[in-house]
Amino acid sequence: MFTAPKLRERLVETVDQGRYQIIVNLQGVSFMDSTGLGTLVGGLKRVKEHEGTLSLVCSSRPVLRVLSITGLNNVFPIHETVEQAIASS
Amino acid sequence: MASKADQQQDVEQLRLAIPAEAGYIAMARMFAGSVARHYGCDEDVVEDVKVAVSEACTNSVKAHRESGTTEQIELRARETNGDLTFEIVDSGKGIDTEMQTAVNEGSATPAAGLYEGSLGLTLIRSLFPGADISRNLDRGTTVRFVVAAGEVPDELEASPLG
Repeated sequence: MFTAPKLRERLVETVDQGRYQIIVNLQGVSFMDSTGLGTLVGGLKRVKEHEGTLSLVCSSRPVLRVLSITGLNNVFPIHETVEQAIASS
Repeated sequence: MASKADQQQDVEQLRLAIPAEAGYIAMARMFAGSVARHYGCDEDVVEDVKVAVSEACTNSVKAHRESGTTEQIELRARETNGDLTFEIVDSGKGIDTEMQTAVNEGSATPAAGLYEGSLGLTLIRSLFPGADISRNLDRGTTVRFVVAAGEVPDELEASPLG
């Protein structure tokens, strides 16, 4: 809830700049709740409007667990490294 | 003279009150994680407790903001016979009755919640299926869930917080 607005702002800014292939690096994120998830879903909806993609880079077990519980691991492509995300985009 | 049970309850009832502001949710999360760790919960359970408390506090902060109340949000933890009970009690407008029924019966799905604002509560119920989300008799909402405590150290010093 505390840091999600910054992410939302950055995602909106990126889409407004015409960039629709987005990789969100969550490697430094050790905790995520529904506010963060909602922000990512909002970003996904924005890029989908332009037939874009939003991929995640994440290896944090707690974050992956939350993504799994909500079923969002089937919605977002998830990669272990930024290099892998770039290679598959 | 207090009975042994009373004394035990005094010792093991832990409380943290935070201002209803987003910046304090991390503090509640750390407190809950430290309590769960102290009572010997597995690290996966500790992480689940942190998520559930964060979700509950996030909803409470929103509820306080919407109702304009300046009271604090209280996080309580109590260990009883190997069960560690967490309660998050707020003084907001109280959960909508229809939402309360949907969440407690499991008919509010995470997918629906993404767009209806109930994802936090359904996430809590996903992590702890026995979690109870109730409107308080006077006002506000209480979220309650129970986890199995592990081996509790004899001395508090034996379990560093953090």
